[in-house]
Amino acid sequence: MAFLLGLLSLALLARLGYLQLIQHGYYARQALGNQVQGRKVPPRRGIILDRNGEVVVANRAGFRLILVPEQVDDMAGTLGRLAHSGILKREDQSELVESSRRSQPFEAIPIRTGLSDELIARFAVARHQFTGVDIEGLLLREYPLGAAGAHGLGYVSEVSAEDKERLEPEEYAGISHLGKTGVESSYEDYLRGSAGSERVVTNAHGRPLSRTREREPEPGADLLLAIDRNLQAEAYAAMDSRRGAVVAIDPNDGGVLALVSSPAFDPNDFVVGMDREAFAELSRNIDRPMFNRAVRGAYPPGSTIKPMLAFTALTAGHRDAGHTINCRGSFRLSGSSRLFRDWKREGHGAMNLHDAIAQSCDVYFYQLAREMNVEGLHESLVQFGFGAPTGADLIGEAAGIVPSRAWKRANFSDPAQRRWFPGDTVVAGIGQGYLTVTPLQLAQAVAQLAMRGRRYKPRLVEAIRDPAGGSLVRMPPVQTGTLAPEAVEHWSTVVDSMVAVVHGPLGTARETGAGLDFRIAGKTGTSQVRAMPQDDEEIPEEVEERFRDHSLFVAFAPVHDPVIALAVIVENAGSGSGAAAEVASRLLETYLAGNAPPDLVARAQ
Amino acid sequence: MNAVAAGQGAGVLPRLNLDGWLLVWVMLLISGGLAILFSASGGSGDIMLFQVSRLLIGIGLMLVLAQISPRFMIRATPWAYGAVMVLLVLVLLVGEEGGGARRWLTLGVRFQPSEFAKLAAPLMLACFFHGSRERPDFLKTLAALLLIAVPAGLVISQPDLGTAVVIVCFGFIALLLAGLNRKYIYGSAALGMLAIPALWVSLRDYQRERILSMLNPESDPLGVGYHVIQSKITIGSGGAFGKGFMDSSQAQFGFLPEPTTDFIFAVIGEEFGFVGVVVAMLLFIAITVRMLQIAFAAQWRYSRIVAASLALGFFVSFALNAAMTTGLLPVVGLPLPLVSVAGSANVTFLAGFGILMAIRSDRRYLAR
Repeated sequence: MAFLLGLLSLALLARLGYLQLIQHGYYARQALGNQVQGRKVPPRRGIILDRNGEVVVANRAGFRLILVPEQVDDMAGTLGRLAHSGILKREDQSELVESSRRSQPFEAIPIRTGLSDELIARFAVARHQFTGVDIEGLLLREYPLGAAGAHGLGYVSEVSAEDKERLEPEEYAGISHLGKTGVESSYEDYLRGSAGSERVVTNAHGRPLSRTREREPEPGADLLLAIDRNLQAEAYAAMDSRRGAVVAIDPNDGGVLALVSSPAFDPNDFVVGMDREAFAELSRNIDRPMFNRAVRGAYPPGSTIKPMLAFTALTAGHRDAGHTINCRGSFRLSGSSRLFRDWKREGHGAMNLHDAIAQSCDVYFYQLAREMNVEGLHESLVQFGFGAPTGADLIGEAAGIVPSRAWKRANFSDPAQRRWFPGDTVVAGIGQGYLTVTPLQLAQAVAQLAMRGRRYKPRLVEAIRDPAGGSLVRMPPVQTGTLAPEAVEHWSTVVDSMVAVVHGPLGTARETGAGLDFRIAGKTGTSQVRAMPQDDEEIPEEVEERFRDHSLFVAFAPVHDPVIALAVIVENAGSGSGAAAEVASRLLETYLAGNAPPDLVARAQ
Repeated sequence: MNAVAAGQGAGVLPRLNLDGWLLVWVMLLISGGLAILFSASGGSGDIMLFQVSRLLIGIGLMLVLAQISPRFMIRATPWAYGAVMVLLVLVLLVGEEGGGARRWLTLGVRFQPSEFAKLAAPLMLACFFHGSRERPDFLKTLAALLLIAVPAGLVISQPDLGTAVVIVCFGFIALLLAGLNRKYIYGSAALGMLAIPALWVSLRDYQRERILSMLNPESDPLGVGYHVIQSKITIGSGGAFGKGFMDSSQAQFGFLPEPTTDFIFAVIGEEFGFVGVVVAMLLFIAITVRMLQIAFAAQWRYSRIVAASLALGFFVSFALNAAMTTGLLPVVGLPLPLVSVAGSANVTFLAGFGILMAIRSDRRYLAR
């Protein structure tokens, strides 16, 4: 009996000695690991200011609900109760169960961001029912411009499963949101900053008892934009939910003053996570609000490219300014029955280059195009930056198409189509046919006209504020081209004719000019969405809306010391002298009122 | 037997039929236990009050039982046994349900009748074997087994595996002390081996999980293995000398489950280290040894069986709890005698000491 008793005691003694003496180090570490957990401290994402220092992207304090799967006793039940109390959306449940399976041990999974005060209160009251679920404070992105800034500034959304696959774990550790489009995306590496770390002593329920900072988080860099907040807002308002785009550039350095694609969406919705239904609706919308028309939309430029072609014709000697043709309302290639109509059926009569631009004579440019030939047109358009992305600091820019013989060979499989036809050249002369440009390219080309040949790479961000020192690092403008600066006379001819478009007695935008109290240089454009029937009378009202012509207008001002160049396109809005010119003049007025020297406005009158 | 002699003389204690050594060890254990409980409960007044009140009830019962003569006890035993069986049946019928089990009965006060069965079973066996001098034969053994099986079965049905195991231990110790034939011992051991698969099938899911978790607790660190892992961490992190009184991080921050009840032994280990648990162990051994001394000195067969089985039962209760807390045995939910918050169990243990003191004071208990 005593033997058994002793044996039992010895076994216990041995066990205790093993645990407390031999394995003490191991268990001491385990006990410490119980209480002390390393946690990432999210950095402050850099804010974004406009050219006048006004905040266009800010951070605000928000809350989100997080869940630590290891601390949840009954996952299905907990999620069910959360859904029942309206804190969680029912359809998100299965997704959360899935992501909780894939998460790192003790990783907190966000289950709902951007809780309203009411939901937070509702959760706080019922907190005891939700072991393992907690409220966490965090900084959320705020876009005061709303939809107006959506396509230029972009938006952030929560780090997704795809992001995690793409990025290294240390890149997003402690980071809740990543930039998805616009400046938020292209400057992600600057804005993000890097997470700090801290050691948190917690109790068994994960409630922090004390914290020790190991490494401070490094805040992201603030960005200073070229964008003018007021102009950006005004541009979106002027578009009035119509489909189209506006790009305004400071021609002196390529700074993008406004970049609008319409219609748009509210980027604030993405910050807190959009529910599936709303997102599907946004994606399905026939007006494609998610599509950035300003940099990805490829449109036939119509007559807006006439000044560029005219300048090349002058410098290359295809035309001199005094040469006059007689416009009878149509043009026919020799040996062909195809008739190329002028927009003015009765014709413009005697036309020199100045008048041909001012009155947008198509026949003049049909003839010019045939003489310059496809090679000449291609060279001219490439010199003005068409056919290639501008290299602006935005992701996903389209290149547009400047057609050539080689391009046609490469892009058509049908042998009958692969040949370049003389007719292809003719329509290119008035910015139709295969030629497509983005609104950004068009604005860049107009800025180049305004600067008499000097071209700067468009950019949204002008300066980056070093988060450590607080000093502002300005980025010098990047000049990407100089086109015949010595041809002062030719530049003057073209610019004068563009002034006449707006202010001349027969200018296509003279109605717009009449309302302006300062002088601008502009050019209207009306681009066809489909080929106009040869004979039938075209009645715009009867055309299904989306087959109507696009309305385009490009302009810069002031004429002699330009501070703004812009391109406006309003889809299916008919003539360029209408909708687009109206938007453009309103924006020029807005911008010059605030930015031109006061005497300049007076002088122009 | 010097220790026994020390209790002799004309002091106050013998006149009150109390055993000095047993009293000293028990009071030391109770005081130390209350100190540990104060720390483990985070200084909770409610828990302390509950524990102290139940201990006082137990001490009162001990003082009363110490005055009863073993001869009266023999006569009362069958009645007491019967009463406990009735209570156990009542638990199953009208017991309070909680955590998937019916263990509590409220008759004026709320208590666990299964704890009383720990006393009733060995007492009943002792009573059963008292009359005959010879070794129990097969039929007698079978009858004795039945006397153990009835309360054990009723307790398992609650279900309360831990307490049932202890009841069986108490009963078997009594059976062995009655001079059970070795044949039967080996036979029942073999039967027990065969019974394991059958028992396994009859266990509830959570009971099975507990056993599996004991075999490999790390396989599911936050599931059923959590208790054992945290308990081992708690004890192991205490080291040789412990973290100091009231400095148990594992218990204070809630990592150790049930720090005031089943896992209080781990708190001793964390706060006072290896030294602390060895001292605690020595106290339990001292109490057991003193009880055995009383048993060996007893002249009546009944007294001997009762005293020895209560002594060993007490030690087994301690050893099972310590083995559970250190991860040697599956966690089945047993209190650490006189230290854990466990009202009925502590009252029962103290009552047992009272019975021992009564045996010690019996005039047939010869001083040589």
